[in-house]
Amino acid sequence: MPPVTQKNAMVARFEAIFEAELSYVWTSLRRLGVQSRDLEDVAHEVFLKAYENLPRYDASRPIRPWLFAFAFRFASDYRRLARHRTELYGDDEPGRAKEPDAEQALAQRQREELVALALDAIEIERRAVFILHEIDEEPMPDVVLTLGIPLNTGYSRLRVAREEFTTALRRLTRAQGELR
Amino acid sequence: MSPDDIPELPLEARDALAHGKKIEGPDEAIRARMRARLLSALPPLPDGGGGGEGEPPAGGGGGAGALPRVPLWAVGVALLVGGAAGLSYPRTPVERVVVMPGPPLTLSASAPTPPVAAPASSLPSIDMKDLPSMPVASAPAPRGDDLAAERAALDVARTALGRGDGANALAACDEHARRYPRGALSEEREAIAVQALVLEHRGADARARAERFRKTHPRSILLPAVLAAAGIDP
Repeated sequence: MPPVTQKNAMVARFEAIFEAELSYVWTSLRRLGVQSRDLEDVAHEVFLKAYENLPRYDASRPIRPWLFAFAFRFASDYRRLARHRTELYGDDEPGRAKEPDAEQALAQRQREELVALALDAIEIERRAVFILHEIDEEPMPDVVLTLGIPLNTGYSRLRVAREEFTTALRRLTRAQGELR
Repeated sequence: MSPDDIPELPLEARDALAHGKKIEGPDEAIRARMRARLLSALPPLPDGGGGGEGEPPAGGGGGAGALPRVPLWAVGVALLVGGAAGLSYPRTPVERVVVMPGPPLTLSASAPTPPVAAPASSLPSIDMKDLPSMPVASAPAPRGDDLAAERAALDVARTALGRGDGANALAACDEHARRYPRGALSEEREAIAVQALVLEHRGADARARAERFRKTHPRSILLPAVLAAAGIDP
């Protein structure tokens, strides 16, 4: 059994990652389609898996794509369960931070919901590429490394994802306009 | 296929995405609950890097290759007895542990493999000794109870920060620095202090402290968050 001090160092390191990146993991899971009520449990699984793999983490690489890969795998499994469906980022989301200005918050929430719905129109493997590249602004070589796919596949998924996102966004914006 | 073969996102889509980039996590209560639950469930590390102190909670084994599934009742019991796994969290009462309406998730049944399926040659792994400097690197590693006490002290700062109270967060950081000048969590303390300075509208102090952080911990995983909080380009 490793000495207690060594274990403490690993736990301290893990805690630092948890503190710094919980919000990122939480947001990524939401973007990948995990419902609000399940975010806490799925994020828990992601961090446990990350802890297990911590000794193999290449610290010269950024931490977020590494964590995203875990989030993607768990979200994919989660999405395979048929009962999970799209939902808006509603007020039921546990612990969502409150915005200071209600009107501003509402507008921001609507814009976020629009993006969330448009994202949900993208198949999850393409969505992972899209999120990493278009939202997290990771260069494509890093994206494909993170997801373990060939570069061509990455670009191909990105092309289709862009089309799907744009089409969904236009459809949703039109529908929104008709409701007003 | 290359980037040139892919049509750019139209302006409206880029515009929408600009509003969708916000990163938002759970509030402090959920964060604290997750922290406690995770630390109670940490499995031993396969490479001898250490795990949570003591044995994993009962029921933690989920079968070969699966994540340890800690029954929620066991987490509750562990927390009630003050951290059966050896890492207790005295700061925040755990108000609610069971949070799963409906059928339980079955994620562990197909626990993902390590996240990158690319050839091992493209994913250089490194030895533990090559990892970036840890907070403990410059100080004698604390005993378990020391770490728990230090963490509890820092939690005061973290909780204050969580409720937007920059002044008290700073005061708690100062107190932590006084009690643990070479503590295992000093890196985390500095990151909290920078955010607290920003909350207090002390931008110049925040930037100066962030720059000191960059100099002292150039490879810290917290560095991007610290620089972003202080408004400094990486």
